Amino acid sequence: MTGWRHSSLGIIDRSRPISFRWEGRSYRGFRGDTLASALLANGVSIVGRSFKHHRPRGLLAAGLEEPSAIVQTGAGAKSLPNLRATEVDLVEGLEAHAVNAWPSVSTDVFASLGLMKRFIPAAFYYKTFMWPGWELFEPWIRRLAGLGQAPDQPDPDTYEHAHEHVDTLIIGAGVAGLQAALASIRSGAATLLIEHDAVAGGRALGAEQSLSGTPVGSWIAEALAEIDAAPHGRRLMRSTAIGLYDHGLAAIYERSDPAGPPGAQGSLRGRLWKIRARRIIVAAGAIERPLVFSGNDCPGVMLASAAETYLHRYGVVSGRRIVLAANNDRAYRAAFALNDAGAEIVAVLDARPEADIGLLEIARERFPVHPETLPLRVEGRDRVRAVRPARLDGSGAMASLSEEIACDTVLVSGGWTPSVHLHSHLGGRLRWDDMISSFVPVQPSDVLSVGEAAGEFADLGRIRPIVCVETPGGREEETAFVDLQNDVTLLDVRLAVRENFRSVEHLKRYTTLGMATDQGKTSNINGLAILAAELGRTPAEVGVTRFRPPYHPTPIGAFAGHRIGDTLRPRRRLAADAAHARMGARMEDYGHWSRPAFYPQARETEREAVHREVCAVRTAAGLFDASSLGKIEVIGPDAGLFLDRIYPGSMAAMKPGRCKYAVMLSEHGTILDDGVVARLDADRFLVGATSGNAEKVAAHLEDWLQCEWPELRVMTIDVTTDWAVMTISGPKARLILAQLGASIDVSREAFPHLSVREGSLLGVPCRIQRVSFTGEVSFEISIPWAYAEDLHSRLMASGASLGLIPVGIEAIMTLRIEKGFIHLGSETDGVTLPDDLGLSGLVSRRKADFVGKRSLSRPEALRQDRRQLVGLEALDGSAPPIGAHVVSDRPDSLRGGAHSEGWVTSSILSPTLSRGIALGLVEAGRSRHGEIVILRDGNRVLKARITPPGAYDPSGERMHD
Amino acid sequence: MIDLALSSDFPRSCRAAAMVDGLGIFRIRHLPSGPSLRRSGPEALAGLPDCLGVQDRGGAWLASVAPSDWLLLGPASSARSCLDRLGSGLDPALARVFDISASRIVLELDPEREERVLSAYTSLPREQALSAWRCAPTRFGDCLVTFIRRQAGSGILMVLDPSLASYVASLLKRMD
Repeated sequence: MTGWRHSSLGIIDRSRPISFRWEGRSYRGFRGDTLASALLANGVSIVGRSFKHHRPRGLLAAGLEEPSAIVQTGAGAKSLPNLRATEVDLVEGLEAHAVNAWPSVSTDVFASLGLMKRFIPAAFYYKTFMWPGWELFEPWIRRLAGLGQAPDQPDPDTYEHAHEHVDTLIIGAGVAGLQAALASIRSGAATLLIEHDAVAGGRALGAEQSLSGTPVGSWIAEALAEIDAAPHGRRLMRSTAIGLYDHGLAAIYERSDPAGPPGAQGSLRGRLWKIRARRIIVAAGAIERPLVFSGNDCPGVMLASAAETYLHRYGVVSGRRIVLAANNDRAYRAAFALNDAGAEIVAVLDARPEADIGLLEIARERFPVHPETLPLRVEGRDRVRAVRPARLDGSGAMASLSEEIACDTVLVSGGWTPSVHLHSHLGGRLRWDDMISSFVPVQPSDVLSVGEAAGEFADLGRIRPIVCVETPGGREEETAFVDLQNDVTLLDVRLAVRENFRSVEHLKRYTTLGMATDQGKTSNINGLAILAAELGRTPAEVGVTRFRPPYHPTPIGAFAGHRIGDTLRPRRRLAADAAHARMGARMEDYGHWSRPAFYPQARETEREAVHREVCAVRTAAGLFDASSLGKIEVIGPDAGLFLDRIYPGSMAAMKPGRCKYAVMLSEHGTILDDGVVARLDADRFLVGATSGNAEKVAAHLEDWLQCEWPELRVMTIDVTTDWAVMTISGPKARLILAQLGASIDVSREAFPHLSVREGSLLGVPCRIQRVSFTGEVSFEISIPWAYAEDLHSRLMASGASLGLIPVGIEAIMTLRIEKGFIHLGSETDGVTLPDDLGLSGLVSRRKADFVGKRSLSRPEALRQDRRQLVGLEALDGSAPPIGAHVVSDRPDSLRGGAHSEGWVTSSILSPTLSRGIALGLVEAGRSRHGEIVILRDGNRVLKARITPPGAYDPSGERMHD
Repeated sequence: MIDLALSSDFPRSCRAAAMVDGLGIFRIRHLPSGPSLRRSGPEALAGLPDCLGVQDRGGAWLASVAPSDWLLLGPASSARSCLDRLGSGLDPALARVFDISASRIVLELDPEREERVLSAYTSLPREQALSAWRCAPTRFGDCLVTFIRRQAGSGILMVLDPSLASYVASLLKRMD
């Protein structure tokens, strides 16, 4: 191909030249060029190497359907792989190179793989390179075949999301789309028009046509002006509809203008729009199909419409000696236009008989036309040198060979394929249209397709559906490409049929036809037509593979949007977060809350800090921010009745001012959550939930209230972040609290364990619950959120002289393991029942019903060998690894090997007891206290004794003090 | 009282929003059943906003955020006066008032940036849901907030949980 720039044609801005580099060499183009058009204008023939065989490839198309010109731009973090040169806007300083070629696209050493192509047909990896193991060959095969290199640094650019609601969404701003937009705007509908390209007009851009008596360029400009002026009209350019979904939802990716104002370190690269439309109109046009013949992938073979686009829009003439091969009338436009621009049309090869060629007479006045003739093969390797035509008989088979025709460019047109992808995303049905030899949307459907997207063509004439020409017994099939991007040949398709992959879906997956980044836009119809011919069926009977979003490759960053870095997901901060930071806390993410793990001092390790904090709680006092714990108020005359139905224990009988530990069950009887329920007064309860489950528990309560018991006079209110909670725990806790001046009597007699009091503190309302998760005397002080830091600092000031220090979650977890208290998610999983944890005392035997009651009487729930909560003490004093299995000599009946009787659920090196302490779930554990068992964790084996859970203060004397 | 802005890591203002201080904020909940509502007194409940509606109540704004669930906010004295008038008619056995003035952050979005911010982080049909005197509890980014639009042209108020202030601030800063 020897493309060249016309002196005047095109709508590029010739006053703004642009310098760029391709494959290390400098070139020039103009503002308005794409990388592809600029390369073509500079006479560059080879723009890529094929995926498998590393064959040299040139430009086939001019738009998003381009299969071969796959490039990588930029460097470092800004490098972008796998772009189509036809979609890369030319900007000053652009650096680009082809992918999958070494050392260069012009001299790729891996082109030698082409010599082996007989040994690497489609799906070769299922049959060869298997001994001694596929793993030996896989890395090399992956290196030799493929696309670009992903950047290995974080993306510095940003992506946004955006949402919009409109009456009418129109996809495509070609003539049909513009007409639809005008009609919609004139009807008063809120209208959004989107267009993949940077400019509107589609194939009419730059063309010398008229519409309603007006030159099409003027018509387009007037239409755009009217749309832009309408208060309820809007258009998005550089925007691709990547998917259509139920209820009028469309996903659209808007690309930023690369020539826009440069950003600093990062700039906005794109925006993912989610549009809700009452009505969607698809005016996405159609895509031209190539012909299949030997050498059809040679640089210089191009779609006829692409050549027109390069000429009209970019002012680039594709070659100097051009052969056109076609089966429809529209393709002749390219020949006329290029001839007018100065190219020589050395021949037109038309598959149709003379009678079917609508423009025959006009064409013959300018150049030779050969009816019932198509290329048999193209000669040339790095560029087209000549084409060998074949005359066809009535059935489309080769009748005779003609003389070779010298040329540098072969324009091909095998027909047009309406863009039905978006229609199909919503399950829209397709039907085969013999007139255009393609699938068209069945309408009406959830979206309206118009123009060529609906299969409406005004100028194709009669089409002859010929896919491929071959010599009898010849080997053209080996180099006749059906899917250029994945190197799928006619031979591969026939191989698949021979191996009984007769469904179009199997053909796709076995050969990878249509599975490349172009998603088969230029290959699907040809592939299924060949399949149909091989099977002796019609294309309509063979059908088409399912189209799924995204319609076009989309950066993953677009889907992430703001969900990255600090805003990956909401991270909640405690009320006294600033105080924790000032005190040097190591903050960690616990269930979406940022909480202090521990407070290291000087050069303390984590273990040293945690041990110090644990010892403080056991001997003096620790201050723990428990603000994240769930708090749900349940209020109303029927509050007690409601909670009796929710919980397995009895709540209504609790006296005001008292609280109790409770487990909440699912309908399966398994433990959903645990916490303390407090009765504040006759018709007011406070339900406690774990930090990670607060919203789930609130929703669970509302679910039952609204759906099952709407007659109850109850309301639930999530007050989790209305109240901050500071827990002070340890032998000195009461002393420290008493110094604070709350209006509550905190003496031992007035404030026993498991009670709640309301009053005031620091001049604001407060609640104090005496509950303990540590095994020491503990007070949970609740105060309005904004006062948390005040309270925190007052407590620290009040308690410093008594040894009060802040403690983090790791210390709390250590303390509770020493005490044998469970932690949701450690000692529970999806099947844990109350009795498994020794909590059957929390399950009422007298209540008629509660959530989960029935499930607790199932045979599975009553099995004696269920895993039960135990303590585990390693004989060597170490802390057994969490997850270590308790194994027995009995083999596993299902899986073979040793049988697991349970596992270690929590484990610590106890600073209080100076030895390892663990909790676990073990089959029939409660009846095995004292037994020595084997723990296995990978290759590590140790012995442990089963004990009751709770090695520290088993009687609970300390926390009841 | 601690300044929530300091304790919650939210800037006093960014380009997209400014914190509104000195507001009284109250949540009013009522048992949902019909007879209970009527027992609470016609004067108290007469003319309450329809669901998702907002009313000007003597300088404070009363928003119906869900069935039997209202949010009252405004300058502290106005809000307190309105609450006193409302509360006098409510049956305390059936209705509760929660003072959440110290437990919420209220931001006012910059009208010029409002469209872009809302488009980026909510999927609401904004023209309908956030027209004058409307409110909408909804998702902002990935957290729940309540939007309140007062008279046309006024900046939208965004009421949020203080534990999420840092996250919301990060979202707003992305729009700067």
